[in-house]
Parts: sequence; C-alpha cells; structure tokens
Amino acid sequence: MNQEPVLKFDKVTKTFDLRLLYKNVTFSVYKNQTLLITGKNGTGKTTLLKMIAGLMPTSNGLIHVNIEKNKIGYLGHQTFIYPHLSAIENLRFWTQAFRGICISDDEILEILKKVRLEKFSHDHAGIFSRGMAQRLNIARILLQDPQLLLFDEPSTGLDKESKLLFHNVVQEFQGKNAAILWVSHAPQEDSFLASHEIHIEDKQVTLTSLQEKTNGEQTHV
Amino acid sequence: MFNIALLIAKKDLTIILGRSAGLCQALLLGLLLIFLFSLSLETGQKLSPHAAATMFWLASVFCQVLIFQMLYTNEEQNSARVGLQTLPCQIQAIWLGKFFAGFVLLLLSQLLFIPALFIFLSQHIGLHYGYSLLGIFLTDIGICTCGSLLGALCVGQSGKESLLSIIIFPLLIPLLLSAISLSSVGLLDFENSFYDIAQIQQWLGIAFAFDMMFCAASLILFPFLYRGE
Repeated sequence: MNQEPVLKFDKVTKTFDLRLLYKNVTFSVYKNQTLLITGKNGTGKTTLLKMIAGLMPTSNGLIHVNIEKNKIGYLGHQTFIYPHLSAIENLRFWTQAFRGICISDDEILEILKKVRLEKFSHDHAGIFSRGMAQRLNIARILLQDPQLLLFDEPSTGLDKESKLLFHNVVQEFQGKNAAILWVSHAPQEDSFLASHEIHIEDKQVTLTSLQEKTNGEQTHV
Repeated sequence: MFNIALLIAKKDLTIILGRSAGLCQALLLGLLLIFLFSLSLETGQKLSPHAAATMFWLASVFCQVLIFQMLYTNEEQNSARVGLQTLPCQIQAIWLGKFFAGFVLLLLSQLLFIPALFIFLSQHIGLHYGYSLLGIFLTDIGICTCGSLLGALCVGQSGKESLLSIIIFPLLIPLLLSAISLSSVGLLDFENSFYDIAQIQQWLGIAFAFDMMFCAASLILFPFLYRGE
C-alpha cells in the first residue's frame, strides 16, 4: 500500500486489571478497508475500539490516528440517545457537537427518512423501542459523516429489516472510502461486507485478508 | 471547547427546564427549608440577617446538590457519557457545559429563595445590597465549579450519589462563610446598616480566591474523574 494509513497500531500492548489482553500488536488500516474483528467474549475486541476512540489508554505502544477526531464515528449497542429530547433534537445536538455547524430540519428529516423514523421526528426518544433507538443512532452517524468508523456490535437486538438497513449504511460508507473496524456479534452474517478479518485468540491478534483467506494465508501481527 | 460547552449547557437546560420535574423538587426543597424555619419564630419576632443569610445558603447548597445530580444523570441512561467523551474537544468542555447549566439553574432557584427570605423570615434590603449580589455571584461560581467537578464523580455508580453531598459541604465551608457574611450585609435594617467596607472587600477577596482555586482544581481533576480512571 502506497497510501498513508488512516490508523496504525504500533506495538500496542493492553492489560486489563493485570490480565494481559494482547502484546505488541502492530497493524495498519487504510481507507476503503472494512475489518471485521472476531474473537471469543473477553478477548478485548471492544477494548481495541475504545483505545482507538481515545476512551481508554494503551498499556504500552502507540496508536496513530491520521484523521481529525471529529471524523471518527463510534457506533455501539449503546445508543447515546437522550430520552427527554426528540429525535430531531438528539440529532441536532450530536451533529452540531461533532461538525460544529447547525444543520437544517430538512437535512435531519432526510436522514430520518433514510432510517425510517420520519414519522417519529418530534417524538421523545424515550418512547422508542430498542430497534428504533438504534436506527436513530445510525442516523447520528450518517449525519456525522466520519472517515473512520468504529462499530461495536451495532446490530445487536435489531430485526431483519433493520439489519438490512444497517448493511446498506455500511455499503454507503464503503462507497465514500471510509475505513471501518467492526466488532460483530454475528460475523457469519456480516462477513460478506468485510475486506479483512482481525481475529483475537490466546492473546494473539491475527489480520487476514478475506480474499486471501480462501487461499489459507494469514498474517500474525 | 467553549462552543461545545455552550451546546452541552443548552441541551441540559432544554431537558431540565422543559422536560423534567427535577428542578421543581429542588426548588420545593429549598423553599420548604426556609418556610419550616420560619415556623420556629414567635409572632413578630425577627430573625437576624446572619441567620437568614445562613438559611438562604443552606437552601441554595441543597438545591445545587440536586441540580448537579440531575445534570450528570442526563448522560447515564444510554451511555451518552461515552458519546460526550468522543467529542472533538478537550474533556473539560463537559465540565464547563455542566457548570454553565448549573449556574443558570442555581440563579433561577435563588430568584425564588430571595423573596422567600423577605416573606417568611421578615427580612429587609440593606444599603449594601450591591455587595451582597456580587457575593452571591462569586459564591455561585465557586459552588457550581465544585458541583460540576464532584457531580462527575458521583453519578453513574450506584451508591455513590450520596457522596456528592458528603464531599461538597466540607469543601464549601470557607466559601459559604464569606457568602453568609456578604449576604447578611444586604439584609441589614436601614438603621443598622453601618458595615466595615474593608471587611466586605476581604470577604469578596476570599470568595474570589476560592473560585480560582476550585476552577484550577476542576480543570486538572475533571478528566480523571469523568473517565473513571
């Protein structure tokens, strides 16, 4: 790859409550790559994303993020939604906070239409079901328009239709050359969208190109 | 940082003033405190300005504890706290935003508590009420600075909410001493309104010094407290 990586792990070690999660992890992520992060519970998948988002420090080593902080989008199973604010007010707050601009109601309504919440635009988010709240969360990310996306099991609890909607959103970001790191609770359902897989097992992090995987090639990092 | 702080404050004020009954509870608690104390007075008996000012600040501090618990609880339900930490600004912007919102809410509460002092505790405005207003302003800055810092420590971790009131009172004592003295100056009767201006200025100096100290401590400590490190 000749291009500059969006994200670079440089000999990153992470211990959690004296428990070693992984040691000396080094890899790079480039634009237009979608990396599916897999591994058993407690192997440190979410921790990896939190370190990138700056929510958690590394124990050793450095993470270089070569884009501005407002271009990093974090979408987890927790929705960041304020239940006492309406869908529009929630989206206006988060968009203004990330992009520093006040967007029009029309622009917000257009995005709400995309996630099929336009009928609930003025309803308090507190009455939303889990699926609706997560679709509002997806709308938040769409308005933020990030270049590096961190997905932490975002499709947990979504019905089939909402999962399809989420897959469309992923494809939309891929069309914009965004880099995506994606912890999925159902990798078999989501892997068709991924270009690479990061597998964490026995304190080892393995990066595999999913095209190469069919030929049995793996890289330990 | 300043823009995001204002945005957070605006969002919190929208939630609390428009959608939540929490502020009413805080106001009722403060007013009830002043009213109940008035019942201890004999008919025609007048409370000293110092005692009335003490009641005013007791009501204000109780109200402030509830206000900052409300402000930080806004983020707890759907982990919006994590969302705020990913914002493209220094984390102190959250502290500043909560401070702005808390300051506005406390001033609004005090706008109700001051008339309550005149009605229930038979107080009158003194000649030096300008110093009192300045004292209220400086003290509010100090207690909101402290409240915004300690609110971050105490919410979201069950059982720790009560810590806010336990920690905050000892820290605020020097500031409250100056606040009570300054407020009582504004409540003196006209015939007894002589007061040493140099002493008033000393109390103002103390209030200002504590504001600066709380502000510096908050800016340093807030990131550790809010991230839970």
